[in-house]
Amino acid sequence: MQDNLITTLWVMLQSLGVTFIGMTIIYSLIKVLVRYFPEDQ
Amino acid sequence: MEVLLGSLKDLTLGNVIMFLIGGLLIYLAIKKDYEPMLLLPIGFGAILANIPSSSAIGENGFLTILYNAGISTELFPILIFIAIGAMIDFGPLLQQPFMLFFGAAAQFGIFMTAILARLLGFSLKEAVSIGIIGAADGPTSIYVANLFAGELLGPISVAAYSYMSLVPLIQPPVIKALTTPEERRITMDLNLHKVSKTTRILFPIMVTAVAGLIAPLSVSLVGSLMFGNLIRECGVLEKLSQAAQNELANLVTLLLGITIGSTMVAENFLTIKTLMILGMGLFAFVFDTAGGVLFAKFLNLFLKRKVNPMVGAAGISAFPMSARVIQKIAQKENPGNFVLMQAVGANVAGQVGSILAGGVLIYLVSSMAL
Repeated sequence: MQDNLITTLWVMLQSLGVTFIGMTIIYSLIKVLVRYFPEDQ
Repeated sequence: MEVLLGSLKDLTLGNVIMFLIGGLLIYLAIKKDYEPMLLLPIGFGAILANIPSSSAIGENGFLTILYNAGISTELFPILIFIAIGAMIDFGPLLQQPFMLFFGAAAQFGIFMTAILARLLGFSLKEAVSIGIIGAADGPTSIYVANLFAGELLGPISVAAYSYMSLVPLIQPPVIKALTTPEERRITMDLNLHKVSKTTRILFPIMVTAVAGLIAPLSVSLVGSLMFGNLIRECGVLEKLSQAAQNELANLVTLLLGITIGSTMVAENFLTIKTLMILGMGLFAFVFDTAGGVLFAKFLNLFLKRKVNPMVGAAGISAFPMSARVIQKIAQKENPGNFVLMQAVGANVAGQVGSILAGGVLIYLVSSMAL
């Protein structure tokens, strides 16, 4: 792959997208944890 | 006499300028209290490295040995992450997981800055290393810069730590430019639920697994942060938790700062590139703040219960300074407004976001045949 502006834009776009997807997965994870382990016994 | 004057003869104007820069960093650390734990050792390291024929650097110089052992191997940033993990209370984030999205949006500066750097002629690897200043997270900046653009490590580290200390000056004007007084007066829910110990223990383990599956190259960063947090939350390793938060953090910070300072040799540091990197670092912090605020405003178009858009700016991971800045502005607009817990939640999310973004960038760029 060539090192040019288009490549940089593509990498940045993917990175932004994957970061948001990752955060969405962690969000869902927290929701599940809080739901199934609401408080200490 | 000739022996005594030997070094003086080799002294260049560049060395003298670097002494002044080192002195300035020490001054800012002591007099202005700007990230003193980092800027003071960096400043002194710069002075040590610019003394002609300095025995501190070079093949057997102690700073070079430390560099090869701790920076080239990425060991120091990783150890710092363990310490940071032990210091962070993820409680406010677990109470309001929604804040995670602000932690992602406030990484916007990384992407804008990398594109700007590429436009200014830097290679993709250099652009990504410069962009990561926008992670507002020193160890992540050092980790990525060392991987992709070791020769830019000095200016990138100085920019990252300097602007982190300047968050109270950088964020307020950006926030005020993008929000109305009514928006800044929005109050937020104070009735937050309790988080169980089981959740606190499972969170770091599961985040490591998930992040590792998304971007395997982020495991070192995320894993060390979450390991530190697990030590903190497990409840049976109090001594280790305290050691990580104090002894480990202090010792590695001391070595990290002076070692980075040693990379600031005049011929490498005094270039147009350094000035450009310092300028782009500021650009990154401004766009981080703008990204968080604008994302919150965008969400408010759809939310019944509005979010104070300033909380979005706390998604920058300069922890906990950014959250304090937001609370200060909120109280200035409305003395009864208390958004600190939400801002801390977004701030902690920013820590996760910056590491995730850094890991994803490492994965993407490393997998390209450039």
